[in-house]
Amino acid sequence: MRRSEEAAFREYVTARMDRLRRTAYLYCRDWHTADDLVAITIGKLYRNWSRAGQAANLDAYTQRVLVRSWLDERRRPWRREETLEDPRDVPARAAQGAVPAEEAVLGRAQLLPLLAGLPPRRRAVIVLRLYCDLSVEEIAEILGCTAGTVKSQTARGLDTLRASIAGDARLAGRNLDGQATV
Amino acid sequence: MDRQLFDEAIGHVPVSTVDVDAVIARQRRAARLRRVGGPGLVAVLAVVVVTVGVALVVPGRDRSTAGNTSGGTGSPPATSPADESGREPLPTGAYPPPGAPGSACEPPADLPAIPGDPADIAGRLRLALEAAVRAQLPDAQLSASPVHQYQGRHYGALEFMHVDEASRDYGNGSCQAGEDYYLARATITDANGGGNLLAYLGRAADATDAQMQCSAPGAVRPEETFCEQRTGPGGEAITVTTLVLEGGSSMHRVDVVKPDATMVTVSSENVSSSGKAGGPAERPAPPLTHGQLLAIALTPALTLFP
Repeated sequence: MRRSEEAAFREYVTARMDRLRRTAYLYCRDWHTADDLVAITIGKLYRNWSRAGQAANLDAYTQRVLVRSWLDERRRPWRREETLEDPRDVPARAAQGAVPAEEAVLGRAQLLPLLAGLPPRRRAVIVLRLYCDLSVEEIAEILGCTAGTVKSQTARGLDTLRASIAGDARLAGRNLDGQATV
Repeated sequence: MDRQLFDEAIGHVPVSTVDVDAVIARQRRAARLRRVGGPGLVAVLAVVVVTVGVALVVPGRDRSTAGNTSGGTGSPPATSPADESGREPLPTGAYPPPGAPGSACEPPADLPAIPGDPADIAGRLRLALEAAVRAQLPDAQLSASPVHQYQGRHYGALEFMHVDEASRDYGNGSCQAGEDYYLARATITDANGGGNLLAYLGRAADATDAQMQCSAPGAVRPEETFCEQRTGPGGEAITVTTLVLEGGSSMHRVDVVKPDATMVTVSSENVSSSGKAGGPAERPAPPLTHGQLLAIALTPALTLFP
């Protein structure tokens, strides 16, 4: 890589660092792993910088590298990640008193556990669509699936999140904005 | 639901440990190695093998590809000894145990329980794996892999180690999920040279989602030179791949998700120890073909739910 290209690479990576780390954290919910994923991602980006420069949307290209790095890391036999909890169970557990009341009202705070409860590819769709603001077509290309699959995965993921958050909010007498319901 | 909601949910963002300069330097070195090649490369790789090998004797977390993060600035003051996963040492007593009040770790998933005693399971799996491998490589010599160690114990050829680690809470909302799987390795030697075999058995939480996906066109993973997804005779979700590893060695790999929720990965490389060390190939191709690996992975006795 020429020095001018390296300077551009460094500038791009530095400017996107915070967003990349946050996105990686949404995938894996572990800052150590998130930083590892970002380091792996920018290493791959460095190797393919000339190709990346030809991409129509460099951010989408970078997100593709990141999400695939995460999915790839998950597949490593020595580093399996398991879905910790079905998010649909949270309201039920709350109703049984297994979830503290203060936890049940925190829609925002619960977002991450609920997100982590989604199957990985659905989690990726939600993050890419709602957090990275990528188009359905871009996400379909990133994940190697059809636009219809992205739409259905988004809808199912959102349904799960909304149902869980709404369920918790109802249990605690709050709406999604944290205000008391009448 | 928008980006702001996610950012609020993320909350405090710790100081980054991503060292861009280190990543660039590592990529420069790798590019130089690819250009130079020849005897010099062998000498450099020998040093790399020794260095990385020290890390690889500790199984658990793969640091070979993640070694480009700097751990200096964020190192905690009081540390526990390096753990088995290879993760950065953490302050002792600083975080609540998983499940304790204030812990970020959620309860483990409601995965099907693996019936039986782990030692019995490991023994049963070893017999099944040995028979399956012998059926494919009747004349090969199998010996203990130098990287097949866990918690200070060396394991024999095709002997399964049981990794059973509870989820770990690092505080600040970060949590490492627990692990529960069986792993076997062996070095394979025959007339064509040295190679290795790895077999993993774990549970799949979601059989459909657990199937390994092939890379989309675009060479995001240029090391993946072949990938094919198919369905097995018993409804197994199968993914067959060939990967070219750093240093020029290659890996044949088969990932199978069985209908009973057993996830099996069997891979073979054309290096005696581990391709992650970046060593040069010791034979033209891995000792086991995709077909042979698939036959091993589909062995009915290789299951966690007999």
